[in-house]
Amino acid sequence: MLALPAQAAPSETLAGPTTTRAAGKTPPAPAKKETTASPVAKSAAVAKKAVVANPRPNPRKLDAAAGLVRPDQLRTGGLLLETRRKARFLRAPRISTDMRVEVTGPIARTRVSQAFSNPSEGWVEGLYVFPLPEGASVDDLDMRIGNRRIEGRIVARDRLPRNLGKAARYRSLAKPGRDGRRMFISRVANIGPGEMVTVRLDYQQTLEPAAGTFRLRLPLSAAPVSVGAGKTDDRVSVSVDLKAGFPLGKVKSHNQEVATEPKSDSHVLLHMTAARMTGKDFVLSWEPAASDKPVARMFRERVGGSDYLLATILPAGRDPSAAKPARELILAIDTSSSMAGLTLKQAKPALKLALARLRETDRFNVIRFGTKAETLFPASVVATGENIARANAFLDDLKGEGGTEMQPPLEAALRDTTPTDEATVRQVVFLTDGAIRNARPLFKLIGRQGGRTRLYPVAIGSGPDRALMRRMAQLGRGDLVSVRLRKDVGRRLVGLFSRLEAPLATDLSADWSAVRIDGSPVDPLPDLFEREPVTLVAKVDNLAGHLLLRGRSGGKPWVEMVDLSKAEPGSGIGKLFAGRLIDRLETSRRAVPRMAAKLDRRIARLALEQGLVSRKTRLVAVETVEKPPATAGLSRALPPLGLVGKAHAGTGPVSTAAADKSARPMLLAMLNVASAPVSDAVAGPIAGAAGKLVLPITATPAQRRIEAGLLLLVFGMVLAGAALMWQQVSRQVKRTPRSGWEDWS
Amino acid sequence: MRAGFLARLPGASAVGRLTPFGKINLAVAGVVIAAGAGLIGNGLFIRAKAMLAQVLLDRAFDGSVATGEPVRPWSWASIRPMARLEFPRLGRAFVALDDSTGDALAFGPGHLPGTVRPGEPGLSVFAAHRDTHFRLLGKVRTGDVIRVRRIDGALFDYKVTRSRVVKSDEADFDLDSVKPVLALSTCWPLDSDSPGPFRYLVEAEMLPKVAKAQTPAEGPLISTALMQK
Repeated sequence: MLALPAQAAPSETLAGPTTTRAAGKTPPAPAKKETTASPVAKSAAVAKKAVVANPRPNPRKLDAAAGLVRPDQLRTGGLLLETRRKARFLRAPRISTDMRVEVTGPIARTRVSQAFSNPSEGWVEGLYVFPLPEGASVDDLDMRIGNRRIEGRIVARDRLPRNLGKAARYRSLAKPGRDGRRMFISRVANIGPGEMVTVRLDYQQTLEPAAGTFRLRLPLSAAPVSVGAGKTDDRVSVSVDLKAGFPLGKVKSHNQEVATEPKSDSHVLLHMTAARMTGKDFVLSWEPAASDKPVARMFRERVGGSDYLLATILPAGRDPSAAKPARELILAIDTSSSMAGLTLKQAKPALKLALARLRETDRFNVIRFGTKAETLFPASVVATGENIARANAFLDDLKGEGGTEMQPPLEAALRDTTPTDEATVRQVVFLTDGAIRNARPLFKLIGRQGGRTRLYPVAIGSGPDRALMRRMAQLGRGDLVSVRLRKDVGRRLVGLFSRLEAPLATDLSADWSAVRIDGSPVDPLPDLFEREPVTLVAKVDNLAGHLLLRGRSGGKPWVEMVDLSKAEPGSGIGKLFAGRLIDRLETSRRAVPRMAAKLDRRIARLALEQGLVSRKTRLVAVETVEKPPATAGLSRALPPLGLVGKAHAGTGPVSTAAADKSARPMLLAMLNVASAPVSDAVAGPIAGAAGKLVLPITATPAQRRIEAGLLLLVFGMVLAGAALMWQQVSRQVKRTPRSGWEDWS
Repeated sequence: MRAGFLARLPGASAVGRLTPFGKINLAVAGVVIAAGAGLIGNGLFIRAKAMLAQVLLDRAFDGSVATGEPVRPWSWASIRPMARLEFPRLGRAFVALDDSTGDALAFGPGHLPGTVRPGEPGLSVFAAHRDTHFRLLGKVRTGDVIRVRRIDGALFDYKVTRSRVVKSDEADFDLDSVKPVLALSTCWPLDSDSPGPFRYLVEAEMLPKVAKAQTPAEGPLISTALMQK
């Protein structure tokens, strides 16, 4: 990696291409023709020309030319070595990269194992950086640097030592990159000459299907790298153990070729066939196969003595011949002043389209709310042409003005006038961009409702609290549509309405009564739409009994019994369970602020139990020095962590130090190299962290207060004495006959 | 006439017949006396708290050594004992806390976060108020032994090497040193009654391990943070 690929600037960096462009622009001479020149010569040329063209060269361009990067430029995990330039790093040569993903339903757990070497002959400091996919959270870490070991531990946030060492210096680097990606950054100090650094990182993410398709992305878009003179040793292996939880339809790897090994209809093993970086992320997508009845599958995981269950339910595929269920559609539209303009303009046609697509058998109503709520029809009406024309006129009249009162319109929307009509699906679309001021009565209102009403809140812009709205949707057995940009309102609404037209499984319920359940968040289940599975998580006492699922599929009743003992093993279920429970606690915390302290403690406990990073917990790295083994040299012979893998069978750990000696001297010269460890490996970071120790104030006001008190006491007594004396004198004066005065005078 | 006035002064009956001005005067005097008494009470309370807390902390410390877990000295306490600092020559001992911020120092010497635990290689600093616990620092002499007993039972002897006066932010410790050093800090001058920028530092170096001491220096240390949002 140190040696720039000969053909062009490194495509792994963002700045790489910029440099080439800059080199092409600034000097009139065609710089692009120089591609055959050696990288070093080229870098030098770029630097030189920049100097000629501009007396004050752009340091960024020079950095890129020299192969220096910022942490946020990495597109795969990498070890960055400190250079003399502040906050600019040199990439350490990668020896191997291994990513293993275990997918359990919507959960994807990835274990990244990478090995790097120190190309220099001195001691260097570095950062391990990994660009995290969206929604991923790192929960375990294990780094080996020579015989030192750094382990990740989840620690309660308020128990964190105040001073976490030099790491604090890099805090700012943990910011999301320019394109919003989050980077995982951990400091790696004191890497010895030629020493190997191995990193193992575990992260978990919950995949959200888009239009029924799950998509997994692994950050691997780095250029293939040659280490030293022509000797490439940058092996890559990727394997995915895909347990989808439903019969798999199409499984596709978008950028790389994969070898697949099917295990069952819902379980497949995949291996990337290429053993090199291909310059593209590994992207895998899969979707469910069509099925004529709903499919329920179950996974189990044992964590810390408890069993956790994950059930996935996939609705039956759409049967074009089957009649769509009759619907009652209630549209509640926020018409507060903030909705004026673009938002309403976008929403109106979408709402009209929704009404136009209603069938004669369907019913509907429209509510608008601002400071006051106004319902178009006293009760829902049949979607006749006449009624729809009235509704369209009503929608045309909508103007944004006033504030937002949510309770009355929600109450009106949820009021079910014909609750016995079970064949009809009642859908409430609640459109707002206002902040929820008092969530609790709203939750209560929705929770009380039950019945056949489903609530689909649409949160627009940045006003609504998504967590609270999501909870509303959950209680209302629908789901949340979150629209961040107002220009997307129309498109997203049309999407929602077309989806709502065909619920495939309705009135679902999970009966856990045959299971010994242990504090699980049992929420009502939403209606299911085409190719959109729902997942349930629970913590159970033992793996006995069964889960009874009931509902209506395609208008007909559907019952399925899932035997707990037949659950397949999965991973990350305990974490998903805890994560969902924490989300709920966080919502309660926001809804009932006076419970905050109590809920915070519960959140911290749950997160610590399951090893989750949450608002109350952090992942910290703990460094330990392993004792040198009794037989010296043994540890060197052992394969380092992360290299024991299929892809590496037969190729033992290779010391790349020799090869690295031939690495470009110019690049190595930029490294910030020390001839000895900067400080003692164990005591260094902490003591060094103190840097400037400020001794606290250690004087109590006790003495001063006692002294001041005594003074006041004395003063008060003198005052009292004086008062009494004054009294006496004045009385004496009064009693003395007038003549007395004359005597005095 | 004068003699009569003086004789009647202590008479309580005089108060009842006060003029308005006299009443105000007396009321002011009462308030001042009450404030004075309050301040004295508060000052004494600070000292009493420091003494009483040490009694409770001592008990909690023994409990902590027995259980291996830090025990709260009283049920609602936010502080936990960390180590006992013993001054054999002076016949005194204090239970030190794992915190040196805010109110913690009212109860006992506090360990400075960011410094190592006593017994580990590097610098370990404890601070305490000069007018309560660390009043005795003035009597500590070079060559004295300070014995530190940690709640995990480990025992370390330190020998006082020097004492010096520094500004609170200019104590130029050798932070990269791996020599186990104990520093006790309090405000200077020791008998002043107003906080100032100066600190009195007593520094001690670890003596070779006594028989009972374990080797805790190999315990894990938190050294790096992972920045994750």
